[in-house]
Amino acid sequence: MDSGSIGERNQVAGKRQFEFIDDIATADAAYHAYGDSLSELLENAALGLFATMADIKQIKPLTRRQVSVKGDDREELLYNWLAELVYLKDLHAELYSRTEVTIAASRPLELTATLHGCPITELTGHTSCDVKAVTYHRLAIEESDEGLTATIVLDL
Amino acid sequence: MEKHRIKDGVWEIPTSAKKGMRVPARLYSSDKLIKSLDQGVYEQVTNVACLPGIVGHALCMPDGHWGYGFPIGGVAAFSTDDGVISPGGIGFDINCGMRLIRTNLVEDEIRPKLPQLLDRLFNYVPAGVGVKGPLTLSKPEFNKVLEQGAGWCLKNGYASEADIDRLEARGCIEWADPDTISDKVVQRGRDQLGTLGSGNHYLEVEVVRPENVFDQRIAERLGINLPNQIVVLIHCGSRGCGHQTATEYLQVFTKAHKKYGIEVNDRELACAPFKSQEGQAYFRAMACAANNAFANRQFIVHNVRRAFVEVFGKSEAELGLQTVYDVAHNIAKVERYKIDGREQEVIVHRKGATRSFGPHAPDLPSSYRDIGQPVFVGGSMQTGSYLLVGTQLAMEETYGSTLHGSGRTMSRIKAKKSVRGEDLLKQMKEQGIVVRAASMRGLAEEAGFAYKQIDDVIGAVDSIGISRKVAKLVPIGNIKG
Repeated sequence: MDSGSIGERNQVAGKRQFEFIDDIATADAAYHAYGDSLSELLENAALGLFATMADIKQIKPLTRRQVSVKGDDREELLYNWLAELVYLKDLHAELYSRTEVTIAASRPLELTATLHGCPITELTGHTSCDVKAVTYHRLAIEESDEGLTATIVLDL
Repeated sequence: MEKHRIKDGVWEIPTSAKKGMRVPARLYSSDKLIKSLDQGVYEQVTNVACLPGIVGHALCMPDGHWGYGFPIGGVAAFSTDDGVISPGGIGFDINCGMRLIRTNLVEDEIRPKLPQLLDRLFNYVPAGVGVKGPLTLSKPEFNKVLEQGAGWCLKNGYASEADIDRLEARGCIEWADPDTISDKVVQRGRDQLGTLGSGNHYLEVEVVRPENVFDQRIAERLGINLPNQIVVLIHCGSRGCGHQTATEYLQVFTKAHKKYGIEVNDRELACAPFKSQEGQAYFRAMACAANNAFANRQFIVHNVRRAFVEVFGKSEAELGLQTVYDVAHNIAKVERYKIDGREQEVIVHRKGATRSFGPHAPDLPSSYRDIGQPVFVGGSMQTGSYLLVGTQLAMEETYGSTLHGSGRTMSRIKAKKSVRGEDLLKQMKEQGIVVRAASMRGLAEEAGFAYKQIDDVIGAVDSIGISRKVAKLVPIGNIKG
């Protein structure tokens, strides 16, 4: 995998969640998300998305929302999931720091998720750059002995 | 990748460089800039040259850098008979563009009130992640924005006839059809009118110093007629409305590839025949988002005028707050050019490239017909921007197009590691630039050192001749998302 140099990373109990990649999208943002399962990968991909927009430690679980998303394959499910979160960010003016994803159906793939987050108005001084859209550029999910790795490039 | 210099500032990549290229690619650059051109640009401009129905050459402007699908700075024309339309050739931020406002104020008059003015502007022009504007429109009313663009602002008292006369396409693309956009587009966009966004979007108060005027006659025709005159430059686009439109049609086109037998080298180049049902639907949806962007910039201008009037206690007319021009740099338009010896109708894609129509071209305001179309090029927030005009050469060589910015050279992560937002704010204050930013992290990402030197990039286009420089605008106040 051509991963580029690695920038900021986030891990919990020694387990990698996501890492920003420094040099594959000069004007935008690229990152890897990791997971042992597809649902964990999708949760960590969501975390990377919101970490692009704000300091995720400051996003308190004040609101709760339910969402379901479909996709023909894993990549499509990942794309549609992140695109839905970008849409919800604008619709509700909220950011989410925790998502609980359950894969609900396998053909086509469908997920249901609970989102925990807070209004953007609660995050004054802790936001960074808005995400306009999720791109298909280098979008991929790869499988290895260490689990699943997704590559995601966001348009900022 | 193989390339030949065909004249000063222009390099050609022949069709032999990559399997599937239907036309050669051309890079507009300079001896200095071409050395540091991203490898990704070569890959992407030659991928564009492979798309069905492309005519002439796939082009990249001097600010070209690695994007996705098309390079940023990419320009390509496709036959309207058998060519394609591609959302990746326009970008997610449909009709991202620039608006320049002139004033009767000069630097000495504005300096004492600059912090107060910036506070008021920051208050009236919401900026930053996911911000909402002051209006929440019903779906029928939002549909009117999508159909009428800046004309909606005129009807609602947010624009003057003089504004409308000085916007690209008079701020309204007439083939917009709200039936081609989804409910999600409406939901995402209907409360964002008048918002700036974030990233590289900005509202700058700038000064035109006498030593930075390169063509006095044209500057005066554009209303730049006082030493150390203050102008306001606004850079933003269609916000969530455009981003959602592009996201959805990218998926529609990807699914339609099989139906039309289209294969692309990059999923971001998803496209459909221009005349197909999908192609026409996107063309109309893109126009809706473009109109939303024209209305967005106009509504911002309305609020900028309110701020100036309140802070300086003078009327709009006394302050001379007039639109110089408004131009898109992420859009596709049907235009006619002489290509390979015959006049053809083409759909010109400009992704991070500005229309640069020369004198006497169609769609120019009557007052600018003999001087050519104004072009605004944004640099970094520390170095300034440029005012240029379009040329006949652009009509002949680049489908009436030129560059749009200076181009990033450093990633956002590296920029944030190199400087803290708070320190940058202090540095800028010492440089005489007053900043109001929604985010210190966001500010650090936009530091001047993360961009190419705009003077080099402008020097390249001026010397090639696809637009001519008129004046440099130096920032003294900046609103960042």
